[in-house]
Amino acid sequence: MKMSISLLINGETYQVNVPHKKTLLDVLREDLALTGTKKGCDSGECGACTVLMDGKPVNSCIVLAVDAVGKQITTIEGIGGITELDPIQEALVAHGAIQCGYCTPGIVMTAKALLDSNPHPTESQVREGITGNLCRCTGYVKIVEAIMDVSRR
Amino acid sequence: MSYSVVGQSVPRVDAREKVSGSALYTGDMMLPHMLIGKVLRSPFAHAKIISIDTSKAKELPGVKVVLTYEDTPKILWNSAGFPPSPGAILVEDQYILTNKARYVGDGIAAVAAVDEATAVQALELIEVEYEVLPALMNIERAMSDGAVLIHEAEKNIYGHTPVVIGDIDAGFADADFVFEDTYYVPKVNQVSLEPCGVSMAAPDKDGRITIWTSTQMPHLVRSITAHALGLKTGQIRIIKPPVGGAFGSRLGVVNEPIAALLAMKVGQPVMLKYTREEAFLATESRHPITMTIKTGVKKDGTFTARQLTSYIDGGAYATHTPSLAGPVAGWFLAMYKSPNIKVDNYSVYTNSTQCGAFRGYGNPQVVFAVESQIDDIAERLGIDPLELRLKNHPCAGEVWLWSGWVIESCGFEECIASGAKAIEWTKKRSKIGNESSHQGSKKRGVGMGYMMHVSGARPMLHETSAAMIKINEDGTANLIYSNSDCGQGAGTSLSQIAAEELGIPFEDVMITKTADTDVAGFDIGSHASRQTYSGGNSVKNAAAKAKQKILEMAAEMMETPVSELVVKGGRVWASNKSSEEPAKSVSIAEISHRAHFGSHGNQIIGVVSEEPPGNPPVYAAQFVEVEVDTETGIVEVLRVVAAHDVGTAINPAIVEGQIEGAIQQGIGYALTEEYCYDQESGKPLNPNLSDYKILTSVDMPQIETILVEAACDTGPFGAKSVGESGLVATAAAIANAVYNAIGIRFKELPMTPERVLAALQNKNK
Amino acid sequence: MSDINYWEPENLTDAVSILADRADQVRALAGGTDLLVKMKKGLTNWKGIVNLKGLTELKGFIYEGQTISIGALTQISALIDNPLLSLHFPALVDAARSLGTPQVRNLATVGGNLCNASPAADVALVLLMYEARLLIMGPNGSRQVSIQEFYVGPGQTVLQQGEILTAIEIDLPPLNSKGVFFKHGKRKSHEIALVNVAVLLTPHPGRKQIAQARIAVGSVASTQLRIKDAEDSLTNSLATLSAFEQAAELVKEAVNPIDDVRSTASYRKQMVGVLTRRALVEAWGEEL
Repeated sequence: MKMSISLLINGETYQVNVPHKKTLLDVLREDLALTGTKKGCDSGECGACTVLMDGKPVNSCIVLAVDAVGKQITTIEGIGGITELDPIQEALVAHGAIQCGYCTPGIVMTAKALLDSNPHPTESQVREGITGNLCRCTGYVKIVEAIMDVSRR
Repeated sequence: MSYSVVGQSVPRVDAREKVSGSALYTGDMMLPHMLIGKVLRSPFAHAKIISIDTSKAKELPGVKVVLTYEDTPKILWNSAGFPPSPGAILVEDQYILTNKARYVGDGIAAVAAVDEATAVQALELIEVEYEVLPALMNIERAMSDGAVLIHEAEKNIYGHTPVVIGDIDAGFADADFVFEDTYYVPKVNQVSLEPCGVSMAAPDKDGRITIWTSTQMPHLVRSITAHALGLKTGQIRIIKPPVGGAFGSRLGVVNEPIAALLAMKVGQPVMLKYTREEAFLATESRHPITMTIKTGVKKDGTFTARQLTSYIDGGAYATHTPSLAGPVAGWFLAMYKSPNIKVDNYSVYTNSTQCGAFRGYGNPQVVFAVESQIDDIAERLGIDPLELRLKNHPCAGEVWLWSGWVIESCGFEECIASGAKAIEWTKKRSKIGNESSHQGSKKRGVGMGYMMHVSGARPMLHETSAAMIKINEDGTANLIYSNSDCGQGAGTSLSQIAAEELGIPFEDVMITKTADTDVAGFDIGSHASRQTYSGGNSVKNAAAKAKQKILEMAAEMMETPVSELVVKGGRVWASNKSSEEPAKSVSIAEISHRAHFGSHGNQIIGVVSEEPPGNPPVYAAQFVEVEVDTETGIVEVLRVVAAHDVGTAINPAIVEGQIEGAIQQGIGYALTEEYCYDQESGKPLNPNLSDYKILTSVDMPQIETILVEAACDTGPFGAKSVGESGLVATAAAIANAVYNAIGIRFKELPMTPERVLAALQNKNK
Repeated sequence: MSDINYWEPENLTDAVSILADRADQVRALAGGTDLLVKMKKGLTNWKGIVNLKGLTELKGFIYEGQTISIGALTQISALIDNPLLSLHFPALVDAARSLGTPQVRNLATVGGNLCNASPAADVALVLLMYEARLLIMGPNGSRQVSIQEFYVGPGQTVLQQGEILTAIEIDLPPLNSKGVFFKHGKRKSHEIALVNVAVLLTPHPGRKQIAQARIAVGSVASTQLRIKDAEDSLTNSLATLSAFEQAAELVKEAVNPIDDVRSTASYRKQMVGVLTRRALVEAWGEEL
């Protein structure tokens, strides 16, 4: 019982044939090889699979692919250019905020949405903003520093 | 000493590929004809398998292979990545798939199918008949008279690690006070963001098999997997792509033999990826330990006798447990000086998932107990807790009982001094139970904990590392290393060490980003906080060998003796004879070009395989301020000051990152994390990230990291270690701060709101 | 793991008729934050999903006089972003902010939070306190129930075969009243409430006595509760700490929590008292 759908991802339209119950995350990773979006829990608890849907961060593991039709999806592959990085990514690199890197794409997406809607957040707003992205490596210290750094520019 | 790139917080060598999402982790890979593997897990904590029928699963279209115990090699093995050595006891009690379930989640059967949905459906079609046995979910039940045996070990005790120094009874007789307390620490999980247990195995037709796996120990995983499968070590090739966090959970074999066996049986690549729930259910976590500590002390704070008796709940299989019992003794011995010491550690089987390595390898458990009791002793003797620690800790020049070697350098006094100043120790300790807002229901306190940790595991283990530096035609260098970086940044620090030693720009050193056992020489892997110290020494020495050849070639070209040459900024310089003469130099590019294509016809290569000369301990003093809500029992950590002696910080941002991240795990250990089982059925109660609570960005306090760089002679540019030490003292510091706030001593972790409130109400009765 | 049927009706009538015809086998999909997790864990035996995403008329806010109507498919994050709600229903916004994570709040809907009928639901609890009216559309037309009538048991509501919750109406609370929402968990975010409390206090003119009190509590019984005894104890009484303590005691007596992996019954019972008292103190808003 597959359904042919078209998804608008990073400005490009993809035609895919997917089972109804397949999640957006699995379609991104398995059908489109967009593996920058990570699977950390598959139940909306860790934020590693965060993508933007119409500019807002969501857990792509609890969105059905068929439910994403008609939405603008942005994944980590849609951030930055071929060689240059987005300022948020540059700041994360410069501050040493990346360790294992598994939560990082999700953090980038959430931080992007946060700064798009509020370019100069307070530190507590940044902490609130990324509370849905669990990280086990950094204690969030350098991640918060990096996002604050970008917000001050 | 001034260095060019050592001591600089250069960006990590893998940061850009990770931040852009282009880094390919094992689970991101896909091979043509790749199948998906799945494991059937026991729903019972303890059960004999009477019969197992896989016929329906095998008939399901898309299923390629179904394996049970019958299909596995009858070779007993141990999954722990603990190198064979005189100091290690490795009890071999595992098969790749079991014929007797010993915990909920034990692997009973495995399938490989064309896709995940088919593999899951196949599991549902396997029919198993079990004879359920009593579930022994804690050491008390497991050791009780008449308890059923989980393996063939009397009373389910399979290891006893004794240590005796001096005469413990005489020591206690000599004491003015004797303190005896029992502490319990729970099972906690590493929770790497990439769930533990992901490997992809691809056999070839020539009898070899390649396994991509998210591991800390490529070489040991290769040899253990080869043993479990009855293969030759060289037949297996382990490739370690980026690893999404490890913290000890990948310290050895996780599921590689299952993936390999499936792949070999079907002749196709198989991806075996555990879900978050499976990572909780079926992979190793931190040992729960019950520790009784007895300490004899003189009125002036001198220790006359120290005794530890611990029962280590290792879960259903031995893996790391007997080998962890040794370091557990070592941590205890090494913290404080005493003429008389006795340790008895017992390894006990229970019907919970096997326990293994988790950052600190027994040290956080021991330090929680020891440092809690030290504060009680200080209070009874009326001595400042800082003073008591300074009086009794081993220092540079003294023998360290963990290794039996002389301590090279000690920054502990400075850790205490700088940390105490930052937290305002004297001022804040004088106001015990300082009340604050909210109708006086919140009380504040400060506390601290001290710890020592290793840089490698010598002399208990050999700490072999191999490094090769190739000087390329253009003067850049490739560093060939079994790079088991799992996020901590070792690959970057090692590149800095190579660049510093070679005298070339950091950007010109290219390390093997992944580990590949077909390419790099034997390396133990990422354990015991060893990469920078042990690996760093090998890298530095390989670079030194290459540099020597560069200098010899330069000497020929410049007609100047080697003794008058120095390397700097990618060029070899002759020291000036007189100030009028312009400095003479030749680039390493020219030298290397000449080596390859000019007079010699060889490449400049430096290779070593060796172990480091020592095991310098590191020290830390962590200070915390907490606020206890006496109406809800909630403990909030307001601030952490972490003063760590790490030796030379090769990359300060990386060092800070290790400490900051570890503190998140340490606070969790103290307050929110506990992996729980139903004590009757043995079913895990919280194998998910809603109910297993790791701290979020809003839960983390302000963290101030103080680096004390007491360099040591044997370390590369004076480096010691930092990987594990950040969380070792955290829980103890929090418990001591809670005591300072409310006057209640917690001897059991975590200090949940329920427990804290109950204790407050008991106290007020 | 076999696949499921899927419908995407374009209007409410079609949605109702699909659901009515296949009620035992299909579920309506709103934000999906609970539904998909349950589906993945294999905790479901239904065969299809009716995605309500096409029913755009069930999304957003309508203001009419003293009443705000919230479409059932309105995302939780939209509550936070709405300045009028912050002004008039701050407790509702606080509850929205405490629900799940930012990512979950961008998916989860107000209607979903109600229809799950979880005793721990945050937004639903505040709606109980604000005495919401729920508009329901079904095969036999529309009907309206009070939120207190809505819950039948844990996970169970009065929704009948084919019925869809379409909108939630709340009236502006009395002038000078103040609503407060408090939640208790082990972390500061990302939590399913161990206990949650929503209160509203309306002072008499002159601000010495309480004209009206509302107290709603969650996670302490099989459904969320209004505690009438405690509310009545405060009506027309002087606002004192001891009055609030007494009301909190009455709340404790009225609840019947359970032990589970998240907490114990005894702890929950104590906490519902502490939170109620603190919420009342906060709602009164000045020195007692």
